[in-house]
Amino acid sequence: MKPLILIVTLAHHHHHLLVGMVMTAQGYEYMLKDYLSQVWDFVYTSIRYSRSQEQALSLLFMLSYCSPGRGYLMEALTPAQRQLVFEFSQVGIIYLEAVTATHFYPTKVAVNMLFGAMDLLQGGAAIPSSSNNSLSLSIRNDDDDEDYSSDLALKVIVETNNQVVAYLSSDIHLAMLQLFVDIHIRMPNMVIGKITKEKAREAFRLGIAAYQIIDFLMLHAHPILKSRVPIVPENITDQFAIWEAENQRIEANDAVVVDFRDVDDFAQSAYRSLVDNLQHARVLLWEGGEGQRMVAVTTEGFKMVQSAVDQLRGYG
Amino acid sequence: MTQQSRKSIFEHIKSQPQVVIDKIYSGAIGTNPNAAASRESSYNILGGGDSKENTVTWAAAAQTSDEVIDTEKIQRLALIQSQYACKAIFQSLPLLAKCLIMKLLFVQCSFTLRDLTSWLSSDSMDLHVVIIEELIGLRILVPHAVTESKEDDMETHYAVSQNYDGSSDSDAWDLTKAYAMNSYFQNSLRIALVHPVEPWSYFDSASSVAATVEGKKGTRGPTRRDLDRLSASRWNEVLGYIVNLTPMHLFPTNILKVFVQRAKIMKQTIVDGKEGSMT
Repeated sequence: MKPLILIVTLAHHHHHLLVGMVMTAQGYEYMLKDYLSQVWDFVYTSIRYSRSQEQALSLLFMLSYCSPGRGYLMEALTPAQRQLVFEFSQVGIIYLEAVTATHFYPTKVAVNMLFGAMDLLQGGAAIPSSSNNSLSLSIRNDDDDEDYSSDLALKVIVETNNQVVAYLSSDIHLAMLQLFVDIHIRMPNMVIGKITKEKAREAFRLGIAAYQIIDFLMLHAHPILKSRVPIVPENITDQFAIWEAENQRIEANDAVVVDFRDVDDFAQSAYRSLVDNLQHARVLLWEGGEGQRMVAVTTEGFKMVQSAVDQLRGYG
Repeated sequence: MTQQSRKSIFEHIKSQPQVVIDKIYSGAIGTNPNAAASRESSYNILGGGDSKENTVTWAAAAQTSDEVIDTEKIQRLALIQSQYACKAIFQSLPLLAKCLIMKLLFVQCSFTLRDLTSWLSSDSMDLHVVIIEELIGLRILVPHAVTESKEDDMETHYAVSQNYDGSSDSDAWDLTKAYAMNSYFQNSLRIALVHPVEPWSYFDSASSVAATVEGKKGTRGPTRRDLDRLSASRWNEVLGYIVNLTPMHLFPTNILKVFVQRAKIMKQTIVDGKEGSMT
């Protein structure tokens, strides 16, 4: 049994050395953003690093006037634009049947990047494209505006007693909720959990802010709650704010307190200059002020204090 | 989100050098920033004429690929691209800026900021200053090299400046400075408004490729429904990649990996054995 466990552990170790990618605090912030903002971040980053700014921007502007579902010629693009279209196709913003495809198909997301409405997923394109659709391949007649993404959507109900009921089908949504909700019942399309202080503090430690959690809950609120004001109960919003404030009010640091009150041969001027030096080196955590010659310093700061005192005594 | 995207695109455009902005407004065609030739050429193209005297600056693009890019094709593409660039920027601007642009769209001569603002009451001046500065930032209004007849009467300038707000802003905001609308922008927006065309439409009507593809394959492209589903599920996989739920082999290229690192969403790290193990 033992060797087997060892092998498994090593395999995981090896895998992580190869992958070595971890999410940052900005990553959590990114995950909590709405769909269009996430897509926009990707597009904007691609444009910024594109080899031709003007061609990248031209592509972006033209995409805004395309018709979703219509095929456009790859031949019409410049090489830099083709590269961008390929990048967009990798994340589903544009559909490309194959790398060598002759046509590309902008999706609703691509068309709505600049002008799109927030409720993109609930409806059609926000910008009417030009009426004369002379170009491109024809598409099947399916003008019905069915909401195909609704099945994939996360629908959250937050109750005043901290209970959270979420209808979901995606593991990613579950993972996001688990950042700040203690899930205790899981069913095929629904989870029930509770917002707890421990979970909230874990989220804050990861760099997630209270407002981001509230925004996420509001963004993904169940349709029956969308008309309510407020969508997320006020006591829950306040609770998150209070927990976050608690987190920010107290900062724990390892410290050493040095008391100079009984050290007679340590002149006030020498004390002040030491405090200034500690402050300058950013190792001073607290200082007693006038008349109370005490400092709290970090462990590195304590070494500075020791050497300063030794120096003074040496000269003395 | 759209506000954010427009804002960041505006900021991005503003940070670009004049030459890049001119390329955007001209569809990356034409080296002569002085409008006349370019304008004439564009109108000729639009009217089906064959004027190709304008130099094409997409040589760079052509050089980077092995393809030979047809000059006329580039001109057509540039003409269409520039229309959409200018139209999109125009549509994204606040209402007041749109009004100002429409007033200046057919003005051929230069004008001073005093000309632009002289008819305003002091109450609305602040708002106009913001808008004009935005237009200058986007190089829609560009400084005119020769001030010509506008460098007269300092007295009036002083009076207007005082009338404006009485502050020292008049130094930074020189009302006598001559401006003109960026000729590329002006030209492209005019065409966009007068002769709107479908994106990349030239390549459909003039090129045989679209017909060939349709005829050859005999199949139809994906429906809107397919596209919606594909884009939603693909983006789900992207998010899965970030939270380590999607297998890496679904992203054979390193495009996503590069993005998450550039956007600081993920960072590369060496995880030690204990931490790395999920067992």
